[in-house]
Amino acid sequence: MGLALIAVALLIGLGALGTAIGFALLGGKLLEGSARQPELAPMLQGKMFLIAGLLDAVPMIGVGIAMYVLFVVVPGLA
Amino acid sequence: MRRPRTALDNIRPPLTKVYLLQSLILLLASAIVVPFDSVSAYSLLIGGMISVVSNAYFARQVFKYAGALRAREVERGFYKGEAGKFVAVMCFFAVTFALVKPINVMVLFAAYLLTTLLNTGLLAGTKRKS
Repeated sequence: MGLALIAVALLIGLGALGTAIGFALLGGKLLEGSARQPELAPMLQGKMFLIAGLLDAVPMIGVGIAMYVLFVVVPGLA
Repeated sequence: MRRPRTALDNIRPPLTKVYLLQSLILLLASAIVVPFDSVSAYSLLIGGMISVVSNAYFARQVFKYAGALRAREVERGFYKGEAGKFVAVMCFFAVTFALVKPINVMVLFAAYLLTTLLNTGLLAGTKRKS
């Protein structure tokens, strides 16, 4: 039961960390790009939106698996 | 009376259309699967709808502002949208696993992943067309 709890914490924590690093890099580049070429800012926003959708797909599956472990594999944990 | 077009309308993809189309595709796919396996059918629908609803919230936060002068607000919208999406997905999966029994987990995750990829594909397609 303890190991399951650690697994859930790692799945959610590392998923959030990965997404946060990815978004920080993307956000920084968006600001940099908008400052360099302000006329491209709307286009950069659209492109960033597309990439952001792909960026968090895998961590979200990790979060889903964590919820599966928490509520189905070890139901006494939740 | 139609609302006058703003600068935001020029960069925003047709989000409502994309999310409605995705929901329609999910409903159709689920209706096709129902005669074979009803558990897989509602697992497919739930997995897909988790993706559609959370992505719709994210899109709403991202396209609140636009333009180089509002770059800070745009970036803040991205962060807020992503945090909200993360929490929403976690809650949706938790509620699904706690309340919906029996459920086909593989179909649920596959539907979630495929709907997310379909979302990106549709948005990229509409952007290329315009």
